[in-house]
Parts: sequence; C-alpha cells; structure tokens
Amino acid sequence: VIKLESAHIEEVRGIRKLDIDFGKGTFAISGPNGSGKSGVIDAIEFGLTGQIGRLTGRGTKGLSIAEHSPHVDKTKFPDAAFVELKVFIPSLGKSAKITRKVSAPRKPKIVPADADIKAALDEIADHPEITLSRREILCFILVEPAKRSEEIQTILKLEQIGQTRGALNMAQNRLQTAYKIAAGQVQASRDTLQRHLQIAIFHRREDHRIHADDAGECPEQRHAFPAGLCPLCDRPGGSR
Amino acid sequence: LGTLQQAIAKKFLDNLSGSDAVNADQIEQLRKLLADGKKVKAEDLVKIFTAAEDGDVK
Repeated sequence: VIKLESAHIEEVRGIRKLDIDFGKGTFAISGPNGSGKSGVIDAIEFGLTGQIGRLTGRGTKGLSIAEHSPHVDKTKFPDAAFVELKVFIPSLGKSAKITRKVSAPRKPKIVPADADIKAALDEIADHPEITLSRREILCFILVEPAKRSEEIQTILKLEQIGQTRGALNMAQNRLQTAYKIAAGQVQASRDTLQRHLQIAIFHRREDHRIHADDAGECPEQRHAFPAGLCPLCDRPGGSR
Repeated sequence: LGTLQQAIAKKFLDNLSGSDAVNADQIEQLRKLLADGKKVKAEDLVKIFTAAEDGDVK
C-alpha cells in the first residue's frame, strides 16, 4: 500500500499544468463534464504504472499512450507530457518522488533510488488493476449475473487467464476425444489378438509367466493355452 | 502476464505439481508456455500433453 502526498501533472490528457496536494488522505474530485476529473485519475495511474487503463481493453483498438495521453496541443512533443508523484510507503516508512514522462513510460525517475522503494513501486507498476474507470464500474453493475465473473476478469485485467483457461478446456476436450478413439482401437486390437490366439481372457505378461511356471494352471480364469509354448511369454504353458 | 495473472498461473502450476496426473516434464513445458507472454493456443497444449508416437506406455 502507498499513500499519495502530492502530484504535479503537465500536458497529460486534458490537463495543461496542475498541482494537487493529497495529504496522504482520501481525496475526491468533483467538477462539470469535461473538466478533466478522469484526466487526473489517468495521470496518477500513468505516474504509478506507466499505463492508462482507459486507453486499453475493449473498444480501445488504435489508442496508445504515446499518441493519446499527451495534451492535444502536445501530441508531437511527448517529452513535455509528464507526471511527478510524491508518495509515502507506510511499510518502509519512506517517501519517494516518481517522475514519469510519456516519451519513456517504462523508465521512471525515482528519488531516492533505494532498492526497497524501487521494489515497492515495481510491484505497483505490475498491477494495472489498481484503477477502475467509470466504464468498468457501470459494466459491472449492468452485466447480467451469468456474465459477472467474465466482467470481474475484465476489471481485474485477467483476460489472458480467461483466454488461457478456454484454451486448456479446448485442449482437454480434444485430448479426451483422442483418448476415447485410442482406447477403442486398443480394445479392438485386443479382441482381434485374443481371437487369433484363441484365448478367452487376455492377461498381463506377468500373469502368463506365473501361469507358465505353474504348468499353465490359471487359478482365476481357468483359460487354456494352445498346446506347446505360451504365445505371449514363449514358455511352456502345458494344459489345464 | 501481469503480476496478478502470474500469481494465478503459478498457483495453478503448483497444484499440478502436487498431482499425479501430469509429469514434471509436461509441467515445465507448460510453465515455459505461460511465461512466454504469447496467446496460449489449444494446439500448443495438446502437443504438450500428447504422448510421443512409439513412446513407452506409462
């Protein structure tokens, strides 16, 4: 868990320049439509993770951070678009400043560059599910119950797991079908072999060896070998 | 995969390791496939879990 102390946002989404003091507390933003409330969330998410959830996922094909996260007047100058966040990490008892440019979303500048601070921030950067957009919340509320788990997967950015699970189920079905076909072929081959060897019950090789040692006496099935050698282990089988 | 998805995949593989249904070699191949980052296809999974032709019956 981390707490936001302050943010400085420049040329990101609809914001030209903005300073916010969060004071490590809960913070709410209100304003008219189009005033840039979501832009603040996007900027914070970008500062922490290098990604903007609203530019990815369903219905966002063709959108990218490089082209669509800078202010519309600065799309040709992604270097001018950046977010500077001051955060406090309670578990470490330390504060740090992250500066992330749109031109280099995967290379934030972290001060101080302590290993434990970087590890904590790396962990957050690996969790794109830390923000929920209005679209995601509305989708979750409106989705029919049967598809709610699918929607939760989307919200938690687990689409790849869902896709992998689908592939595993498909592979399982194919392998089960192949197994059934192979088992049928084995049974047919076994029946053919038994018919040709004129034996009623097909034992494992070990069983035959024991039977052969016991002069061909089968205590369970009482089947008979043809005269001479056991056809499976080539040892004298004898008669019942 | 993101961290949360990696954690789920790791738990899945750990559970497989504790089961007799899948051998260690198949689990390792599955681990590599999931770590690859590409979209996992059913054909790739079928290849992993199909016994080699003329192989020993286990």
